[in-house]
Amino acid sequence: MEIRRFPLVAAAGLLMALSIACGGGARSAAVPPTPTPETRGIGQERAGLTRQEVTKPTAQGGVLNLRKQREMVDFDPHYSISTNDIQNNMNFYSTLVRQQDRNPIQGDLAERWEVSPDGLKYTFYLRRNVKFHDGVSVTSRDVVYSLNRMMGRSEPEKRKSGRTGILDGYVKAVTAKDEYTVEMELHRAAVVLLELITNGHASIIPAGAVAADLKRVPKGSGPWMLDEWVQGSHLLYKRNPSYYGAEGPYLDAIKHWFIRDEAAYEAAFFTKKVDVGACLSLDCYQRTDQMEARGELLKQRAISYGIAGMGINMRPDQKGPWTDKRVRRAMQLVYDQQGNIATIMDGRGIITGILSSGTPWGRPPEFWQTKPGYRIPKDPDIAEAKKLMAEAGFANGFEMEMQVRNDQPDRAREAELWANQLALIGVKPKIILRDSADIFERGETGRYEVWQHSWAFFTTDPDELLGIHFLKDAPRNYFGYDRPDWNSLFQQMSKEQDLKKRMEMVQKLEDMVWEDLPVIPIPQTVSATMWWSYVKNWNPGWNSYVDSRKDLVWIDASQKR
Amino acid sequence: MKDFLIRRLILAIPTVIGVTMLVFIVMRIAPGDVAMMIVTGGGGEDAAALNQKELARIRAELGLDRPLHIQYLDWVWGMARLDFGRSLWNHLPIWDTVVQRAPLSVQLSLMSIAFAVLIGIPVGVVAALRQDTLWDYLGRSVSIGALAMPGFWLALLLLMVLVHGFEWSPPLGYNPIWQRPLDNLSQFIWPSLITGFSGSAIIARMARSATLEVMREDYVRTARAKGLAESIVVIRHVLRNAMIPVVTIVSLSLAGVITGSVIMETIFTIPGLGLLLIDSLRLRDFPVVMFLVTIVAMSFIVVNLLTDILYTVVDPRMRLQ
Repeated sequence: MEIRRFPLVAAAGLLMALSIACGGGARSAAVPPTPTPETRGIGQERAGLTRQEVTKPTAQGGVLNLRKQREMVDFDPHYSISTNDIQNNMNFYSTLVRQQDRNPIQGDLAERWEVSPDGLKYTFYLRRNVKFHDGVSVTSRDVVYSLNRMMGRSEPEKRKSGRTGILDGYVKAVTAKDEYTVEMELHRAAVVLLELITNGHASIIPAGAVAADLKRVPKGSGPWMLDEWVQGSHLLYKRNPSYYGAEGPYLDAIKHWFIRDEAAYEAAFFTKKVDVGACLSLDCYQRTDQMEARGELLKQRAISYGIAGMGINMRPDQKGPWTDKRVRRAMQLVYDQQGNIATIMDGRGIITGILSSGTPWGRPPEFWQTKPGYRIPKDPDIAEAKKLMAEAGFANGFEMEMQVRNDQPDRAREAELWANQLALIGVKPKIILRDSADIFERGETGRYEVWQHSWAFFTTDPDELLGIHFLKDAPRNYFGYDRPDWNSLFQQMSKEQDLKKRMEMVQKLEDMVWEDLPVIPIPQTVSATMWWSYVKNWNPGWNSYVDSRKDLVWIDASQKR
Repeated sequence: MKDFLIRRLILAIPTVIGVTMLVFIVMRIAPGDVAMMIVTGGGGEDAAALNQKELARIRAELGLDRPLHIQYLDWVWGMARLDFGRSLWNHLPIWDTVVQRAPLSVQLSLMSIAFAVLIGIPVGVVAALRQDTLWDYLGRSVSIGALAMPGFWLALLLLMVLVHGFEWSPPLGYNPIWQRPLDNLSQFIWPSLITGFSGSAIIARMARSATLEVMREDYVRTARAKGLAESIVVIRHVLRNAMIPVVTIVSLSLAGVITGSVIMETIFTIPGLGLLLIDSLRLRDFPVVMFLVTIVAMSFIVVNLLTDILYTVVDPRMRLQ
């Protein structure tokens, strides 16, 4: 039986996982050939993503069964910022433009768009045959309203979206030129703009719709309509018969089962009660690796684009030892990234710098392997760290509070590892578990000392990856990082159209952050999504916020047993 | 009996008030802010959406800006009028949600108790009647084993065996027994068996010791001396008296409909009250938690009362006073 083979399978899987960990990042160090928005997302090659060919269905109909971990909070794509919700909301709504998997950005509600030569004006021409689920036509009025609502400019709410509210920093004005033409005027040229509005949180809702209207039902124009919501049990979507897409949806329905427990999820996947799965246990990874080799399922391994590590509160009001650059460097030197990969990540991770090695902009793991703090054995780095601590006047170490999200066990484990590593130089972090909302509020208001986390990301562009975290006063600059030469270089990089020059600037910016260490990076996890081979055109997407529409998915009943 | 019931019900009032006050206070002093969680979508990252005006608006909307004692009294007044309030998150009436989910937890609880009784009593009684024989040792070993193995561990083990050994897992979702009886039973049988097996251990041990004790009573010796058949002695004189402590345990298990099912509902994906309680606690959905805890407290009070009444049936020597 399978169970008896587990030790062997475990060994094989571990080797495979290690090979991913050590070599996955080097699979392709390809850099985007052009910086235009159409090529965004190609960093998936480095992340180990393999694009599945889009196929025409041999049969239509059927129900796709998926897992949902938690109950929906509501159907408001702008304000409901939980990843748990947006992945469902993307099924109901449309965006101006969309990006499926690694494909170029293409029109969605906008059938085409123009960008002015100076990059300051975007004109979107809308399709004319699009209707919301209630039959009302989608017009430029809805688009203007939705974009303004995201940016906190719509009455009566005047509240920014926690996700796409960052558009406010780019967009000067959105206006309806006529019923089907929308013009977006920018403060400054930003190549990231189109990518920002592929985000599910940039969905278009009917003009005038407010949060209360979206509490129980979605009001979108996307491929799926909500058919049934049984609290605690499932959500059922039916096909939108008036969907404007040239193709799809091919399925009759999608059913999202609420499955809270990870073991139950794995069980449901292995017994094909759900068609798409993800592994948490090493055992599951190993078993599915074998199944993948036999062609029974498809797997996509992905590396997060986000920034992961220990964030340091460097605001001017902070007086703790961690504000001393030498102390931060010492903490970075003792941290064992490779040890983390071997122990906490069960071999499924890659070493990384400030920018994830999973992004096209981040350096490959090979670059970092020889850097101080990454080297094995660590003895010289530990000795150097002790020296730096002594120089900074903290030879005996110090105590500090490390805040960690209480709903992510991995974060807590990482914090424990940090505590063990930092003990080598006498630093004693007190780990404090907090609610997500509490922890982010503290991050924003600076009421923390250090913070172990993996921060979310929405685009593949350094404008967001770097700017949102390290630019002075940026919305997610939780660290209080403020370096004038960095800010100035960032502004240049943001509008640079030449890829090579832009890459050089990005690397310089990363080096500056690496020098100051507002965040001490930890390795990135290689996670895997898998689906049975009878599920065709499944698009896992390159992040959790983009195109999870499933309009092209179909089920090959002949392969489903 | 009427006086007894009235007296017990009056005494129950301070208990319920005490429990609800305790839960109310604990929920309010526990870290976390429901308004902040609502703004950030429950598990969402990012404080960019947070602004004090918005938080204040939500707190006012939820009535959380009022003094604590007013909030508590308001809740009590609502309960007294059978207005159980609405969820802070989905704004659905709590009563509707509970009515939808309660049948699942009640069924799980009843089936678990049935299994516990069906396994526990025979094992305990046989072990006592065959004291110091192989049957006794076997029964005691099984019951100690059931006590030692945590339910969640057994559940995960069982799930693994079903999946990897038989390529089968229980159905998902909400399957009412009157609509899809087979799906329903194949979903409930496993968690019930596990919970029942764990519960049977205490029942078996209690039944064994009570049976042994009763068998040494004078009236049992007298019954045997009168020449009654052993089966009649056991059934009529021993079991009836030995079951009194067992009844107490079984009835208290009944009261644990919510508390006892949390883990099994999570592992076997049964959307019952246990899962609702866990989700509500995570989301700081105070009214839902308060209502569920009140139900638990009241269940224990009612079940205790019924147990006292049941004693008089099992043992006619007992009288309600």
